[in-house]
Amino acid sequence: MSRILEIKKVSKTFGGLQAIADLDLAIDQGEILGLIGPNGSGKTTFFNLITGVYPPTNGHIFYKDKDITGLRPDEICARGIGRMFQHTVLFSTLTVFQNILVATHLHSKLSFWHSLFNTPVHKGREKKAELRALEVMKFVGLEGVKDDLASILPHGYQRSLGVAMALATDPQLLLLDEPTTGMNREETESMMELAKKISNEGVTVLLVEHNMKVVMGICRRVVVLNFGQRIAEGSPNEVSKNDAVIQAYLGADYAA
Amino acid sequence: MDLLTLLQTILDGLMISLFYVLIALGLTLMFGILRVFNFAHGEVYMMGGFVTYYLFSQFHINYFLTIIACLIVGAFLGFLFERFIFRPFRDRPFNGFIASLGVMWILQTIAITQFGVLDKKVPTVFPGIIKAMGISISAERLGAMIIGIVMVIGMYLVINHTKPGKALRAVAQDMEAASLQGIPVNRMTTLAFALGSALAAGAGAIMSPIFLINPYSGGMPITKAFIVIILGGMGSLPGTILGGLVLGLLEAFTAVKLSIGMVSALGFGVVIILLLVKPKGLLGRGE
Amino acid sequence: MNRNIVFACLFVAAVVLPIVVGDLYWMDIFIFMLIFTILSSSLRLIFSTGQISFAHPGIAAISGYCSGMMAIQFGLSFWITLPIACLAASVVSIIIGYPTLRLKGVYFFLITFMFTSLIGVLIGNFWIPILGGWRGLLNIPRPKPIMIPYLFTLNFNTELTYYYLTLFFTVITVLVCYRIEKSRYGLVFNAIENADGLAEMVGINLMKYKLLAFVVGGVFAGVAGALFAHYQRIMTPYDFDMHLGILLIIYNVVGGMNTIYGPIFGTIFLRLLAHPLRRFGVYEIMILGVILILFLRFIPGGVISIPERLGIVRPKKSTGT
Repeated sequence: MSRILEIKKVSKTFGGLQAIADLDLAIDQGEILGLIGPNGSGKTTFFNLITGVYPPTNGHIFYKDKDITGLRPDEICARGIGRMFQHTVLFSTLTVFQNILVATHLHSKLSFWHSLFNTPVHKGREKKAELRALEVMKFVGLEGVKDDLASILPHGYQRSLGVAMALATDPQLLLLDEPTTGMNREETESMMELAKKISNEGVTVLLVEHNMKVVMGICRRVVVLNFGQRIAEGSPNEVSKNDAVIQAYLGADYAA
Repeated sequence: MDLLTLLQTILDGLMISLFYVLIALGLTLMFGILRVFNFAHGEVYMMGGFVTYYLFSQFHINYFLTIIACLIVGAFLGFLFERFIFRPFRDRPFNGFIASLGVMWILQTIAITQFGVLDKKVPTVFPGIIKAMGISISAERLGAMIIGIVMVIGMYLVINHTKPGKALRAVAQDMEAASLQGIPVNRMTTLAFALGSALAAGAGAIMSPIFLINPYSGGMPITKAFIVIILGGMGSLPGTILGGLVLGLLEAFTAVKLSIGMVSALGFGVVIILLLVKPKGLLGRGE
Repeated sequence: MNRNIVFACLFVAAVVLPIVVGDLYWMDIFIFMLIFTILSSSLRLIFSTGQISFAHPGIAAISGYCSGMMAIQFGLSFWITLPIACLAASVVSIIIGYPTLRLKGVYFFLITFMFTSLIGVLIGNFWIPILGGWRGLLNIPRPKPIMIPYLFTLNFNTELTYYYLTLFFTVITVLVCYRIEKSRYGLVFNAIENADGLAEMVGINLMKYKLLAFVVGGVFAGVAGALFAHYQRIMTPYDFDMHLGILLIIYNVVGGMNTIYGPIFGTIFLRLLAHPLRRFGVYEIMILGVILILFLRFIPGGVISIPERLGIVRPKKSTGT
């Protein structure tokens, strides 16, 4: 099994605060890897580093054996890493369909002069992009709300839209940042099904979660972070019995 | 350049610097809290100049009382700006910034209709020229400098050594945290505006005997003040003072060789380059 | 579709306008109205990517002075100086856009404000023999006549013909902006304005699109600048200064920045309003200032959004408009 993502000795400091400290991590192609840790352990910073929101202070990140350290987020996305945000960030003035359509950007060429004159070439490309967006919408289960404004969607649908947009970029590695936050039991199970479905399509999934049931349910391997460092790794079962992990979580409640 | 000319140029530069700093400090105070500023700030300076003209020159009120009147008028204008223009736009401060463009036009019109378009000259307060060690300065400019420095020191004392001042700094650093600690953010914002605008009006009081005053007098100070705060780093008070010194001295030294137009162009050019190379300015926090 | 019909009607009205109100006074007003429409629509394109720019007056000034200066110094005709001036405008746009568009909000506004101020100072104080200094560039010629063999000669010395010339360019500007907005470019710009972090995350190269909007906007500012120069035949640094920059913002805010129709209506509405307002003389800018503040506060979508807000028109399930 080849490694799709390798993090080598990566650190990130903000002013005086060290968010990630000398982290080494490898993700194998095709797996669903869970990333857990108490609040403030650096999980979101980690995602931001991978997707290029800011560069690491030290260390390198390799995607499919190529160094992607320091690239811009759109360049990293073009290479095949997709991400769904922790907080619901959507294009609030656009409809569900339009949101996904924008996200197909990488795979549907947009050229100025063709757009200007609305040439048949342009029309063909737009049709293709729209079909792709429809496909993704159906995969995720959002056809029913196609023309609704993203801002008025119920929370669960908004999260699904976030996943849909990440999927529309056709990633080989998908980062999901706490996808089940704020969801009830039914919605959580739907999301878990969706994650499995995505994995079955051959996409590698890196999942940050607070909900232990989700982690136990779909991750084959789990990595635990605390204070920006890896403190444990293994199968969900092994990790849940690990002393260091229990200590890290002591006092913190997590909904299961 | 021989020593005497050098000293003379430095002195001239310091006076200009002080003028710019007085205007720019107000902008920095506002920016520190709201991350935007009041485009009509220059008009506060202009109003200070007109108040001085009428009180001191027309009604013959004591100059120092006039200065205090200007400070009060300035503070009041600042209060009005915050309360009626910036606070309603609290969730989208940038819109408040754009709205202040409208305020600028409103104040200019008020000045035109109430005071007329023509230049007004405020008579010299401190007559005579002081000569020492080969360099000379008009007593008026010296007096203005001294009063101006007193104002800056006064503001420094308020910000750093009074309770409201410390609360203001807390809000500027982290509004949410300050609010959680019970600091009344709204009142602190009003304070920032009042203090900053008072300084601008005070600058109007001391500079009006030196420069002429007309309804459009606000344009130049605020443009220079923007350059100053960008140089010094938006949001940093010491940076503003440093930026003012840099710009004032730069202008004084280049004025020896270049025309006024070139000096202005140089100021713009320097700041554009600086914004591109080092967006945080010389000392500032930037964003 | 509703709005396109209004649009088409407006165009027809504009074409027949000189027949209805042909006197010089009004023709002059309409020509300036069209020039300002070009400016405010093209500025809106830049606004739609979330960049509130104050560079437009500076770019228009560069183009207008370029065109006028070349016509005077080299005797070139407008038909040649216009493309050159627009090229200059686009080059300037790229040069200032590339390093500054990564800034946003107040920082971007300030730096574009500095740029426009700098251009004013440069034009007023340098190369005075060629540019005319603060007094201005005088005797800019009207465009040379177009001769259609055996039919007629079209000359541009009258308001009437210049009106149609300006109308021609206005229609082009509006059509280009309209097409961009309606296409996926419009969606991408909207996305960048709305949530640029997310836009990047789905693979959009922010700089590329912001620069595109900035340059296209700049080219049309250039067109407006040249049209202005060759109509008024005099250009001064005061013609494209801070006052203009604020006016363009007001036209956009009052008209509505969400669609291309907004600045068109805003410009027409406010410039027509300016004429009864002229009676109030010096109060004109105060009234505009008050209008700006009121609209920002209470009608942020502009005049265009009023029918929707009153429930007269169903909110469009937009397809990029």
